Amino acid sequence: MARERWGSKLGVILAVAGSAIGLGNFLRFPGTAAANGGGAFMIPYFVALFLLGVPLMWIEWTIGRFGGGFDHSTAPGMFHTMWNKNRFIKYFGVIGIFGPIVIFAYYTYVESWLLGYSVYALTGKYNGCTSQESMTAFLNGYRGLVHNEYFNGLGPAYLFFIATFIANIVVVLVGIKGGIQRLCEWAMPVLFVLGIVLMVRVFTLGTPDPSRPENSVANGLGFMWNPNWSKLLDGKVWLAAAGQIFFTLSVGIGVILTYASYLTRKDDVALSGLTAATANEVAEVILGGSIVIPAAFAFFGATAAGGGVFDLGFITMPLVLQKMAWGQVFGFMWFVLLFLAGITSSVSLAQPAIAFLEDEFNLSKKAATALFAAVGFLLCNVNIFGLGYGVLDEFDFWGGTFCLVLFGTIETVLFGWVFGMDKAWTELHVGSDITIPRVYRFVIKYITPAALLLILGFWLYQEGWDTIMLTRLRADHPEKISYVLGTRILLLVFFAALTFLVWISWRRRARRQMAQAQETAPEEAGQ
Amino acid sequence: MRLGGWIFMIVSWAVILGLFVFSMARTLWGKKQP
Repeated sequence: MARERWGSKLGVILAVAGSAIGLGNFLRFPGTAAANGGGAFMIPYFVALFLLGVPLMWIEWTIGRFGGGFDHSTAPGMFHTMWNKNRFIKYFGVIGIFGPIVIFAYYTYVESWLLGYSVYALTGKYNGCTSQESMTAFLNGYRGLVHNEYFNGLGPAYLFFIATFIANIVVVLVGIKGGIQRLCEWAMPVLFVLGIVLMVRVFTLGTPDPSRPENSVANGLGFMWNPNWSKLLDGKVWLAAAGQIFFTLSVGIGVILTYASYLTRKDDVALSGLTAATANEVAEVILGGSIVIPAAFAFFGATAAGGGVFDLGFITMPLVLQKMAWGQVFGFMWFVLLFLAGITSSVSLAQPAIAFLEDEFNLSKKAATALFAAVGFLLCNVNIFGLGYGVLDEFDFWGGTFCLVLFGTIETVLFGWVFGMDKAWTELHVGSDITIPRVYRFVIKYITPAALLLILGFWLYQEGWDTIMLTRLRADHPEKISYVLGTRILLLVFFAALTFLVWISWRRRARRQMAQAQETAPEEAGQ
Repeated sequence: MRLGGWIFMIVSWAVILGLFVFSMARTLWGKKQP
C-alpha cells in the first residue's frame, strides 16, 4: 500500500499551524501575559520561543520525517529506528499515541460547545443573559450541569457534540491530503480573516461608556501590554512563559511527528517548522492579544479582563459581544473562529492513533478510523457525563499537561544525545531551504532539554504533587474522589492496552522477519 | 496605555510579523539551498 503524502509544502505548514493554533492562542495567552508582567512578559516569552519552541519544532519535524522514511508514522516506531539497540525505547513512544487520544476525548467536546454557541450567537438564544451570573447559568445549563430556564438537559449539547465528532471522523477518514490538508487550506485563511475583522472591530470601540472613561480599548491594551518590570525577577514568570510557548506550539504531543512523517526525504523541515511556528505566533500575540482582553476591559473593566480561560471565552465574550452593534454577527464570527481553531487541532489529535493502526497492524484507513472512532466516542462520553465530577480535569492533567512535558523531554534527549548531534544536525538540514545558525547545535543539545527538565521539575513541585495526591480535591470536593480515581484507573488501563499493542506489533514483525530469514536461508545454501 | 506598553506591543508585533513574512516568503518563493 502506497504511503500517504501531503499535496503541497504550504499544505503541510497550514496543517501544522492549524494543529498548533487552538483555543489557547485566543484565550490562554492574553490572560497569562496580563497576569505575568504585561509587556515585560514578552521578554521571557521570546527567549522561550527561540530557545525552546522553535528548536522543539525542528526536532519534531526532523524525527517525524526520519521515521516516515521507515514507514513509521508514530513515536514507537520512530524512537525504535533512532535507537534500535534499545528494546524498551519504543514503549516510551506510546505516550505519543496515548496523549493525543486523551486530549481528543475532551477537546472535541469543548470544541462542540463552540459550534453550539456559534449557532446560539446567530439566533440570539443567549441574548437575554446580560450579567455574569445569567451567562454562567446559561453555560452550566448547556453543559447539563443544572436544569434551568435555558436548558432542560444535555440534549442540545449532545447533538452538537455528535455533529462535531462526525465532522472530525469524516476529515481523518478522507485522508491526509484530501481531508486534513483541504480542511486547513480553507480553515486557516478564514480564521485569520475572522480574527482581523474582530480585532479591527475591537480597536474601533474606543470608550463604549462615556460615563466611565477609564474603561477604554487603549486602557484594555495597557492592561495587557504595560510592562511590570518587577515580574522579570520572578522565576515563576519565566516558567509561565516557557509553559505558554510549549503548550501553544503543539509540541510534545506527537502530532507533529505524525504530520511530518508524510513528507518525503527531500522535503524541507527547517523552514517549514519555522513558518508553522511563526504563523502560530501571529495568531497568538497579534490576534489573540488584541481581541478578548481589550474588549472585556472596554465594557466591564479590569475585573472581567482578568477572568479565567473558560470564563473569558464562554461568559465574558458573549456579554461583550451583545453590547456591540451587530453583536449577533460578531458573536457568530467569534465562535466560528474558535471552532475552526478547535477542529484543525482535533483532527491532528486523531491522526496518530489511526496512523499507528495502519502502519503497525496493516489495517485499512476505513478499519483504523472505525476503530479509533469507537474508542474515541466512548472516551468522549466519559468526559461528557463525567464533567461535573472532575473527569475532564483529570484527562487534561494527564493527557494535556503531564504527558506533553514528559514526551517533549524524552524526544529532545533522544534527538540530541542518543541519535547524536552530528547526525541530528545533518538530518535536520537534508532538503533544507534555510541554513540554521550553528548556535542551535548547542541550544538543542543543552538548553532545550535543560529548560524542559526545569519546567517538568518545577511544575511537579509547584502543583503536580498536589494533583497526583489529590490534596486539593480531598479538601474541596471529597465527593469527587471516587470518580477521579476511577478515571485514573481507566487511563492507566488504556495506557497499558496501547503498550500491549506495541508489544504485539513488534512481536509479529520479529516473527515475520524470522520466517523470511528461514525461507531465504535454504535457497542461499542450495546456491 | 503607557508609552512602555505601546513600545512592547509594537516591537513584539514587528518581530513576529517580520519572522512570519520572512519565513512565508522563503517558503513560497525561496530557492532551495545547495
